[in-house]
Amino acid sequence: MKAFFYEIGRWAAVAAVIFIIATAAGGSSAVSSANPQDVLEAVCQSADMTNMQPAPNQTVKRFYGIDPSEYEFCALYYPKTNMDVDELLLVRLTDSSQEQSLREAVQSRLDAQKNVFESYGVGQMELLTNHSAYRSDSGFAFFIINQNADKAQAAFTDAVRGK
Amino acid sequence: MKQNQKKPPKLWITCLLLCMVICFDVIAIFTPDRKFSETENRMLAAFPSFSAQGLSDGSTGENVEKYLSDQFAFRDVWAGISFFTRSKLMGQNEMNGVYLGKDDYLMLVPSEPQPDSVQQKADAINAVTEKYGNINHCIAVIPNAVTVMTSKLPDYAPDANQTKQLTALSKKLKGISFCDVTKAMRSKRYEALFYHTDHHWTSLGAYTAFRSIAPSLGIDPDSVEFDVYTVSDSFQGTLASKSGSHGYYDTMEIYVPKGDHPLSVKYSDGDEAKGTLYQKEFLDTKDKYALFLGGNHPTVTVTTTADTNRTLMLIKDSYANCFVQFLTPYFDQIIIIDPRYCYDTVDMVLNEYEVTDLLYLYNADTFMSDTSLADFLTFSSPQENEE
Amino acid sequence: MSLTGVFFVFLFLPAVIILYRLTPDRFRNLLLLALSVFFIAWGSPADILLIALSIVFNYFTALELDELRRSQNDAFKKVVLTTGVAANVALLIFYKYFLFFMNSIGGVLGTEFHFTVPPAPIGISFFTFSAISCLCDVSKGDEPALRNPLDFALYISFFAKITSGPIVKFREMAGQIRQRSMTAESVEAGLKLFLIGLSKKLIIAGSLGKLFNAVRAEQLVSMSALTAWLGALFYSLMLYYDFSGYSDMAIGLGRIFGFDFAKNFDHPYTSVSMTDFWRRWHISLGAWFRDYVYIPLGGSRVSKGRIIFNLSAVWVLTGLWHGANWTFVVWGLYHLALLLLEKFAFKNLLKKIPALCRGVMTFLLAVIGWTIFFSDNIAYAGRYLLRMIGIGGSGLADRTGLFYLSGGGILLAAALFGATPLLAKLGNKIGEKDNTLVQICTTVFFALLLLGSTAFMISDTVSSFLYAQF
Repeated sequence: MKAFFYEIGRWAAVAAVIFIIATAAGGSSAVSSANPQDVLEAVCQSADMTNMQPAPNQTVKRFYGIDPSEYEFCALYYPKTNMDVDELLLVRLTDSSQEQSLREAVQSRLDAQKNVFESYGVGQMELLTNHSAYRSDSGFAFFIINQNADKAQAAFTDAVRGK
Repeated sequence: MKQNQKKPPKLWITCLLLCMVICFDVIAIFTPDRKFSETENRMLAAFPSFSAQGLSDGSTGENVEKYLSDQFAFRDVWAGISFFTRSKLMGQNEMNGVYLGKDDYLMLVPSEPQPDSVQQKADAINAVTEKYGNINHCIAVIPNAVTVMTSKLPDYAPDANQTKQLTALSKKLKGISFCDVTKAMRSKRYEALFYHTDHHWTSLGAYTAFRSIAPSLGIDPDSVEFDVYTVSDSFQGTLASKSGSHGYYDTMEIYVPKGDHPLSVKYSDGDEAKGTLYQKEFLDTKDKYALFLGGNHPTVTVTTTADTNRTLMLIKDSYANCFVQFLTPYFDQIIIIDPRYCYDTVDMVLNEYEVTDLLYLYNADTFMSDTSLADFLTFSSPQENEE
Repeated sequence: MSLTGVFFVFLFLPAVIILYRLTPDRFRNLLLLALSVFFIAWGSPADILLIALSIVFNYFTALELDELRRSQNDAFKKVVLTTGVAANVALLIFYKYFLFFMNSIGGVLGTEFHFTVPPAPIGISFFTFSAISCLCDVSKGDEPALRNPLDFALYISFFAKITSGPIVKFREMAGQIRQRSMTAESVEAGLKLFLIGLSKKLIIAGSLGKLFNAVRAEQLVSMSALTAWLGALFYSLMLYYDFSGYSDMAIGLGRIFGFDFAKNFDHPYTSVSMTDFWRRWHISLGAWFRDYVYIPLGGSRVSKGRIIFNLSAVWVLTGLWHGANWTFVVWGLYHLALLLLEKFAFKNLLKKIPALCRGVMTFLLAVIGWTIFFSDNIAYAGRYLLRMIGIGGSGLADRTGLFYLSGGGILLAAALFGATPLLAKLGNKIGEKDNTLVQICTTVFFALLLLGSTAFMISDTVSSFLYAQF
């Protein structure tokens, strides 16, 4: 009788683990149905946009070496003055295989900016090292350098997951 | 704690350690938080804000750890102890990408150049040279301290190969005067051409290079004499912060042309024009090299009364900031562009001003690893950005 | 939470020691468990749920095994034990090896799979092995199961050992969870060991790590034999100081709270044979594989062919345990080959060689093994090994090599000396003398260790423990 009780306990735990793993895996790999414009609006509301302006495609190419037309949606905000480093990039991937190269492009952009401001711009370095984040979720990719990077990140995750 | 045993247990170490640990905690609590560390030249972590997101992904824990470490009591003393242990007791000769050289010399270890990007830059420069044939084009890539002051390197430090890289670069460039200042600088290598604690060259270093570059610019370096003033003897630059070696203070000099040479300096990201190249207020800060032209700016325009009918466009990195002082007697206008911060393009500038001479002035390490120069030279201007 | 961070050393640990001292005996396990939960939640809250479920599963399984053993229902006990071990292994495989296996299969088939696996919970390699140890011991009757779920949870999640071991066997720890005492001597001894471990890790392993990273960043094309050997030596000693330092800290922490964990390292670089080396390097892992894989497979009391099979199984698994990469498998097979040669081919020959020569040889063979271990892929390891014998790079020695020798030679020599038992012997000899002067000197010495470790803790950006990724 006791053994029966223990069996239930064990398998309940196994079922719970499987459930957790399944929801975790399902949550991040599904393709989001959110409208890119809505996501953009959501992240722009949580980020501090005072230093930023929307960028033409040319600038996306120059900063990231990527071609915006290859993605379903691509928006970049960049600093109004050149001595600022605030940036916000939101991309809706056409297919998930683009994620890898996009992540590398973002990484090299961040490295290049760090290289430029290292030992000159203390405040800029602070933003670049401690207030920058890259997230990819449900077919969207998001990169931000901003004082409110944490908030914007959370807003991004909520928006693409439709919360 | 328990005193009722026959032989009292020895808890010396436990008590002492607990006391020490608690003492440091107490001191840390009662010392006000610092925002900025001069010695490390970076912002220190502030007390983190707690959020549900941060607590659930563990980032709050990390931030608290950063905060505690950054605001730990006597942070600079601890850094000094670990630097001393590593450099003196363990005998390490390189720290964080900085060679610990002889006679207190710190030298930046140059980064590995990317062959593709060097070729890209050479192509871009050649295209500009060809497109604007009526301008006198010059390029000077300054070898760094590791190449010039080899006798100050730590023993067995590997050759940085910059001489080879410069020769290779000169072969790639066409129609442009390639000023190789290596020889001129090497001949004065026992003088202070570079700061001990900073990756920049001194005014003397810049002056040495200037005399060697002058003929290519078609100017006579002997026609103007300079007064030398010492403006600071307490400069500790970026290499001191990067390596953690804080035992040496550099002297800073400025070279001012003799006689009256009024000029006006306009910064693209500043409001008012200034009457001097030197922003003395930076001498009271950590970043004393920003004395020259106030540090880095996208574009700086210097207008002089030299009356030579010549306009120079200077495409440069921060090495050029202390080089401009030698050029002012020779040009009516100097347009100084730092492509790393400038979103304009070369065409925009050359169309706006009647440029007679174009000089690229970089240090070898930045030039070899930089990516913004090629962008500046090759990209056409984005329409929305024109104001 | 990192055991070598400011938060742990300056806030968590002193608070825990004082709280523990003030808590009555019967609540002490509860206190340690609560603190362990906090410890895990501080760095990775998401892991709490998964670790808790693993605890629930293993708790019930252990109780059931206990029950079946007493009612001598052997057939069903076997089923329960098999499913219990399988579930633990499955969890480990899913988090650590699933992607690796899929990519390997994809590589063979020429296709690419796209899977995402959530990041592995902290210490998964260690806590699943602890759990398996419990199931096996209970099933065999070596130790009754822990009836109190909180006690069992503490066995799995005790903060001193959850992140990186040692993998303490259930039969060794269960009794201590039920009954142990905190004495003045144990606190003093535990703190000393903790500090020794902390300084080994922060001061020596940290500095060696910087040197190794510099060598690792060099181009292989132009690497000389000298540079390659220095890099391999830096790594070998860094790994030893890092891991044995961590183990010292964990064992020391255990001792502060009255636990008595066996030592995990016993001067492995002074071994006189590979067999000897594996009795002294990561002792708890070797013992685990011996008790729960090698002996159940038949151990050494079987035919020669079967022994070879058993050993192969153990070493492939040991290799894989260190990480999901073919380099670890090759590293395991390398050690397997050396052990087999030692056991069967050169047994008599080795006896004739003086101990010192055998010691040096064993050390060098271990160093060669670590080069496979630190390489990202087999090709890199192969090229690195060629550089070590001077093929393909810039000869036997060059300026770069001399530069590393002049910058790292002193530390390397000191670290090599410290890896011998001489220092420990000296320490013990001094410790025997019981007078005030010795006591004062010892106290000052440990205060200096704390100051030195603090300096390195504060000035180095926190680098996480190497073995935590396994």
